[in-house]
Amino acid sequence: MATLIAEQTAKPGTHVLVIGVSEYLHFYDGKQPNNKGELLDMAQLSSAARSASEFAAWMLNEYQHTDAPLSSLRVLLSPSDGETIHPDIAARLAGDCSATLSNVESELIAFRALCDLHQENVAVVYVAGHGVQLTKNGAIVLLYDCGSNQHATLLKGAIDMAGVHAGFNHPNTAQTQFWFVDACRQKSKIAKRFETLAGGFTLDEPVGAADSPAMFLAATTGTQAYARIGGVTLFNEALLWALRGGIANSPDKTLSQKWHISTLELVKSLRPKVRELADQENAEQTVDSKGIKRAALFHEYPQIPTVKLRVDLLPDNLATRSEGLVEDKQSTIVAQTSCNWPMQECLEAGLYKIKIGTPAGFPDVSDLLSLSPPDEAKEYEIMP
Amino acid sequence: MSTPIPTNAGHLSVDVESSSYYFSSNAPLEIRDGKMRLIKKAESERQFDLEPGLYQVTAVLEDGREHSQLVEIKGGEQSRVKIGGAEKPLGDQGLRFKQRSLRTLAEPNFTRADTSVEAELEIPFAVDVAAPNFTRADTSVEAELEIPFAVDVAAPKLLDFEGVKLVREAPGLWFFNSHDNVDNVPAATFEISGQKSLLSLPTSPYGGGAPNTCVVRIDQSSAGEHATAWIDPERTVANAFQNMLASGQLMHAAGMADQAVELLRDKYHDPTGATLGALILHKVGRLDRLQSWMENLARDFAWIPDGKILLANLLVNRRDDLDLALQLAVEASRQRMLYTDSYSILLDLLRRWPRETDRDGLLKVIIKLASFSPFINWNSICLSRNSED
Repeated sequence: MATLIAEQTAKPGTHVLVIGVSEYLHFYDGKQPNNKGELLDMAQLSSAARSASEFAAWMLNEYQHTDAPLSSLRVLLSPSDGETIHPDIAARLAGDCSATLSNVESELIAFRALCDLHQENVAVVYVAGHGVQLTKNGAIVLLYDCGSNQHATLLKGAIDMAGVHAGFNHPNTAQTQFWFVDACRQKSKIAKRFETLAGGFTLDEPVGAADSPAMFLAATTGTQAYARIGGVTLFNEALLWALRGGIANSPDKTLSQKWHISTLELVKSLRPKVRELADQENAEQTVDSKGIKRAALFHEYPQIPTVKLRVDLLPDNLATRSEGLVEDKQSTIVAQTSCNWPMQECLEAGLYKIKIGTPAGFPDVSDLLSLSPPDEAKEYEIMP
Repeated sequence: MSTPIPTNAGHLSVDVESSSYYFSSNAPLEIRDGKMRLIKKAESERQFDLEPGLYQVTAVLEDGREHSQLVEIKGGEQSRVKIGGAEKPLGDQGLRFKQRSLRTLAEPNFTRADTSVEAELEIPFAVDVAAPNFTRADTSVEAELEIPFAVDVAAPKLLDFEGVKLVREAPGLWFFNSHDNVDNVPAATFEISGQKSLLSLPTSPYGGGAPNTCVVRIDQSSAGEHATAWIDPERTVANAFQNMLASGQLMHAAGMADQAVELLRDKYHDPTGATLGALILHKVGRLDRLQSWMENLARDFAWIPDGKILLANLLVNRRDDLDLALQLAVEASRQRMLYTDSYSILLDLLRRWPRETDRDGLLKVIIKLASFSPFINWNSICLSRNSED
């Protein structure tokens, strides 16, 4: 069964579909190679299924949404040999949960039916695997049995993510949607062969639009730049970094009374974070978004996030003779150092005052600090 | 109902420093309290009565970045903060210490105010970690320093251009003005690392006011150099659209576009800037109410196919006049597009065309368009594609 938890349908909730494909049966290096699969000229991946399982585990264990708690979780994975799947997900997978066209089609249809039950539902889709990108906002993601001789066309065993997304973009389904497409984009010489990319699995497109059908599409060229060896994909690393406190927005009367992440934080942070990770691999990776119509709540933090504060004082010889303290808004001292710099402390996100007492002949420092996750570093250079 | 003034309130006055009147008077402000709870969103309001405590005031300005200032409000006292510019509390004086906020992972943007003079000198070739936007600093650096043009055979070269005049250049920077009459989106061809790259240029024919210049800059990433086209900062509103889009400040861009497209439309000063505003509104789903404007843009500026694409998309979404939509889409497919997003919208539209009977006829159009796809630089706001060899 691809369904990992008991489905809750009576009230609005969050419904999740996760698909990760690392193993490709019919590729030249697959377990059942064939002429059609070899024509695709692609190799097995090593991290897509693991990355998908890591995201599914985060949804299972950490996701919080007061108005739309996790209500269903469907996972289809085709890991390559030796690929590690998150244990919490591996333990719950039973039966045929491979990412075949047939399984994806039936799970998508079931997922759509759940999403259609309440407009207040939240729909979350995460798909990772080989992809062919034709536009900024769409990719064809290849499934486990892509290239099968049972399929009428070469790309029959693929999902047209733009088309499927469009199939959910209407007023009579979950109005808040988050789609994450993590595709290993093909090099241009391969991509050119696909021309129109006709034949991928898609859905009918009803008239009208959903309120917030946000889609984040990450694509990088080449398998080496797609993921860290033995790790997860760069996009997955960036996304989970963000969701685990790398970014957070402060409480807001309209969206959430808690610290949280919305579409807007994802738009602002995913692209630069993925770029930063890709730069470390001497690669280029893009993240594009579509359907960002408003700030829509994705995740709420159960507690106020903590921020790693580091304050340096220059010059060094002054630091050894200076004292510093940090006060919260009630003037309660929350961090203090006596001649021991840099001052390092983990504090709740918020606004603070910092005071630095210096020896005679130097000015004291009084300043305000704004601490937002995940860390904040300040440096004060004192002049006589 | 007005918010009651808190007892023992202090008064906060906010100055927004911007070279644009629009931003200084209309940039939305957000005020957060000591726990960083959002307590106030203000459009043009700049005076606030607040309970004593610590506050953060934030605005997104024309460089596309968030500018913040912290302030302590004391009961019965007046406080004043300045957003933008040097960003120091106006009340502080005689400071004898320098404080620097070091970059954190949470704020990956590259802030020009944080860079040294030495770093500024290297702007055109700086490592593009956070996709620096294009601001006034970029245009003034080369003008003020008069950097001698170093002959470097490996340096990116401008090979050809059409529909524009090259008005000045510096290493890694080319400034273009539009011809008075254009019948196609202007473009320039560059040779970068031995590969040719064709870049659409967001210039507009002179329509009064400042010339509608654009600047091409070579940005470098770990994967190589790219030519990117930027709307000149003198075109304040359009430049801000582009900077906000590059920084992911989509909702701020849309808020501004909601107001500013009217200005851009009425005066017809800057159709390429107005088209970018329309594209932003499309991205946030707010273009529907501007159909008549889109009809004008598509008709009066037929050389910009992006307007036709956005109009065709509106018509298809409404299942309204599909014959006209088809005509617009096919016409646009034969022209050079200005913005990368327009190319994506058109190809997605054609691939999922709603009327079965048209699909066979569209196949050739789709094949031709799709053949460019593997060579497009998806990071560029203006359409840019490498040659296939």
